[in-house]
Amino acid sequence: MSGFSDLVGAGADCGPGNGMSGLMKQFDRDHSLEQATQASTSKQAFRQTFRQTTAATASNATTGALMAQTRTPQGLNPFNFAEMHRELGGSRVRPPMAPQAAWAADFAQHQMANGSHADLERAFTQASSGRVQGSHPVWADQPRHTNTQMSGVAASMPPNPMALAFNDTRMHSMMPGPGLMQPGMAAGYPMQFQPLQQQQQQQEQQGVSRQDGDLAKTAAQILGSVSDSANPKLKDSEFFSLMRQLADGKATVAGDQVVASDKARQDSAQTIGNEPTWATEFEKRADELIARENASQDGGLFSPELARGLERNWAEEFEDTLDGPLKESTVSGDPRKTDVQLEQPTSDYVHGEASSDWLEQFKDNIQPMLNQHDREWLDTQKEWESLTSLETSHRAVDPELSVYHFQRANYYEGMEPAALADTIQHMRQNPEAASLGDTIMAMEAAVIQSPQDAAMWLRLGLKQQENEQEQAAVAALRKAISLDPESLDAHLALGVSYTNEGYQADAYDELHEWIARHPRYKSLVPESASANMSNSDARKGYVQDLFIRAARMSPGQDWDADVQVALGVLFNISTEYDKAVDCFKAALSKRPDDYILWNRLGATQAHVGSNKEATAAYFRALELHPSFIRARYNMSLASTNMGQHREAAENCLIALSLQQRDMDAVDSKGKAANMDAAHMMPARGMSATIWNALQLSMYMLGEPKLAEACERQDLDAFRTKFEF
Amino acid sequence: MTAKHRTTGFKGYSVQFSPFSDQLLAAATSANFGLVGNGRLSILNALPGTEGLAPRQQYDTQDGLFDLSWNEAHENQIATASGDGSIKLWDITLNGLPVARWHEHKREVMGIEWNYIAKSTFLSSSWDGSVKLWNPAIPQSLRTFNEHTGCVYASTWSPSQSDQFATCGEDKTIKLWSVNEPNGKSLATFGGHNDQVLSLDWNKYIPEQLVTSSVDRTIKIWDIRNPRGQVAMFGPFEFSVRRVKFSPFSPNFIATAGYDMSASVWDVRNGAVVYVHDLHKEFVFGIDWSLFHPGLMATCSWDEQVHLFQVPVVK
Repeated sequence: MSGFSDLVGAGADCGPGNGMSGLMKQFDRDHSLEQATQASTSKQAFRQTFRQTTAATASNATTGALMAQTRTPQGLNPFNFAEMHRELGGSRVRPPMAPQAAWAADFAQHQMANGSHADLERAFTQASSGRVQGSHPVWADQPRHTNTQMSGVAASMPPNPMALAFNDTRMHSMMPGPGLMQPGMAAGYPMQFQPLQQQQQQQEQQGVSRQDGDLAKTAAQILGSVSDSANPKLKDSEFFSLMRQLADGKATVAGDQVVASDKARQDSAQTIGNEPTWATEFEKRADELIARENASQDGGLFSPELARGLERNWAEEFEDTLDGPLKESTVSGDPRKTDVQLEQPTSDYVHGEASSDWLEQFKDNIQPMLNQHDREWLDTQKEWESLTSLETSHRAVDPELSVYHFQRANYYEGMEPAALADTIQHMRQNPEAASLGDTIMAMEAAVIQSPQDAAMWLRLGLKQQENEQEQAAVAALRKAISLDPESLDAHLALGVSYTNEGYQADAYDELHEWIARHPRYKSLVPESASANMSNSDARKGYVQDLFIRAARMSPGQDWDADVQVALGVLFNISTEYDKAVDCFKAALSKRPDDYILWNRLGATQAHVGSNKEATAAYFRALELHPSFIRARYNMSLASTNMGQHREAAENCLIALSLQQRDMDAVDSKGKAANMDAAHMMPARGMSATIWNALQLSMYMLGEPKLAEACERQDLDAFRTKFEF
Repeated sequence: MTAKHRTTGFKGYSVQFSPFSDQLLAAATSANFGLVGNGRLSILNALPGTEGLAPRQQYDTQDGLFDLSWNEAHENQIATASGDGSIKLWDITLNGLPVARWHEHKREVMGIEWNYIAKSTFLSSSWDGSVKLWNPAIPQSLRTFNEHTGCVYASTWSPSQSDQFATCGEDKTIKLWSVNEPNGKSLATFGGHNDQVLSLDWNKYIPEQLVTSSVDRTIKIWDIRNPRGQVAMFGPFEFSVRRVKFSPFSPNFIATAGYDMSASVWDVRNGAVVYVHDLHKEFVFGIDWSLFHPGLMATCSWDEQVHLFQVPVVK
């Protein structure tokens, strides 16, 4: 399967600026159905198709525009096709020699350097005579209109046939327009033109069948991409009807028109005289098909074999069966619109002009009919899918969040459990002495040794929060909760992590868990709690209300800091930052030494623009814990916001040097234990962010050289001008 | 009741209400589904109460038109994005030719977005991978932002900071930028969509919230403070959403138009669809909210129809 977009995946090299390739880009794509090989080949084929089509178009456009230029009176409405057609018709009778000569001369001039102009000139003559005689099968009857620039915006332009010709060519070959073209730029023409001429020759020999075939294939794939859709509008869609015509080779893109191909013209001539309408052709085909369908059996789509497929993914299954000879498959029009009277609504899927193996395959896999019952099942399934998908909003559903990724090498791993416990104890008592990376490493070793230690998982989670590794923190905290569901601290911490990551629904859930398990507050939670969590609005109001009531249970100065912290987090989620500030302040009055909380207060204050107050809070956090990198960085942000770029830079530099020290410590311990530092992931999570902030400060301070040093992450370059 | 106007022969790509008049809207359209051929800018008069849509003017172009944006500083001007890489500025009091024309993009220009705070500038996003900043009085672009590794489909300005904007594109990313950033580098890149990101819009009330729609058939809500992951995801749907727009009247509603041939209004708080406009018969490419009448919406589609309709106002 493939949709439009995988035909043009790769961006700037998508080939010439062409509308068709663009269309492909925008259409739906279904990864689950993708088959790598087919997709890639078809992509290439499509680009090639368009390169070639484009070339042919361009060459014709060249001559066409030339003739138009000579024959068209000034001021002709560029959109009046009929008049243009007459003009072109006239010129077909007698080749316009003068401009051709001018062109050739001009062309020769450009080609002189290559010494090959004689050949090319001949090629050109051939090409233009081909056009003039009307022998080109696709374009001959197509009226072309001149460029607006010719008679419109750029009317002041000198009537240079060369430029005009290229004006049209440009559209397909990314040449700059003549309106913008400088005289010197004309040197680019020969290079551009040569391949066009050569291709034109090839085209004349080969005809246009090949690129039309590729185009058809693409269109068929577009059809294939929607063939599993039950959307009734698809049947009547004019766009898909065009895709069907392209797929069947009955229409093609010529110049800037979608036109009937020879094949279609012949076909329609055979059936209904000279009127080349798709509708009639289509009806005829539909008639055949419906007759065929009626002969085969109806219903019974959900055979046991298929029911199994349905469990996996009905659409995928169906698509797979379509994948091979997709080119031949079409989704035809509404059978009721044809002249055949149907006893029952047979099918949305009528296949046409099927090759025999396709038919066999199709029949083998599924009966091509969907009866009413089947369709209901499909609708039900779609409905169900859309319902379940809503559950994912604001939810931490990524399975990665439940997996804790350990560092691959850990020099604490071989340590005796008792010694390790001592080390960790020592680290906890002296948070300044141990680096964060080192501490996390030790704790990881501890949980590897005793994976059932919920308290250690909780500590690890808290440290990972401090380390700005929220995903790891979530994983560790989830593990802690799975081992000890009653751990209040773990629920609260997980609520904070969810908030930081934007999983608001989960944050509310965790905070609700906390209050529902708290011995003092659980009486507040009503029995019908789950009903209040049904949608996001109700959830927010309900959980906030619970915590406010919990806060009121401890009147006066006797408040519970945990409740205040949780309320602060809740008000952060609901962006009521002023209230959040009050809550954090209240909590800090009970826990003045909680540096994480000070940092959180500062961040909340910064949200409402109180940078001065925020700085004071960060400052307090750093007093308590000088190597708290996040607070350093936040302080630098607050300084930047106040226009104090030097202070901002200094804070960044301190943060970076702390990280450097941290990494060095881990590195040296790793080396001592004979381990490859590459297998360890020291705390460098924020490093790039801080370097970016530092670079901005350097620009603001007018230090472009030091700003460049940020690119290299060269800390030493700053030591001459800054102290840190 | 739905007012309809047929853009005969031209498939609708984008529609936008005038920011100055509640009775004017414009549609950018292309012949042949935008594959090849001409474009047309149609100016329509919206009669009060969705009574009708009356054609006012039309302007034809050589190449298809894919997007348009009204000049926020000049009530009669509209900028259009063209398939040939050019940008044209039209004055609807004049007939015929554009009043200005820029041609720097090397490929199709897919999006054009006027800055509604710093009203002298606008952005264009192109398949050549670049985003350009323009001033209508200056013949060259002011700045070029090259960082996307593929076509850029759309841009949106921050509603609170006149220098900030976000873009999305083929490389599956959303990028946040400042026009003042000295190196022309993005401030942040958001990954998380599994395929090309087709459209994005900034919440007009929550300065940190963005919505995106992608070929991976999902809609995602992002918080720009957290580039690591989305806040919410809706979908995957059967078909992808081509254009997504936040309501100018509420922080909670988005309108979407897409390949399912319908337009919908969503409540982003719970992902509930509160309104579906199902009258189009082909892909719906353009959708816009009236800035004057809450719930008044316009859509345009490949069925050559521009629709004007009233969505019940919900809180």
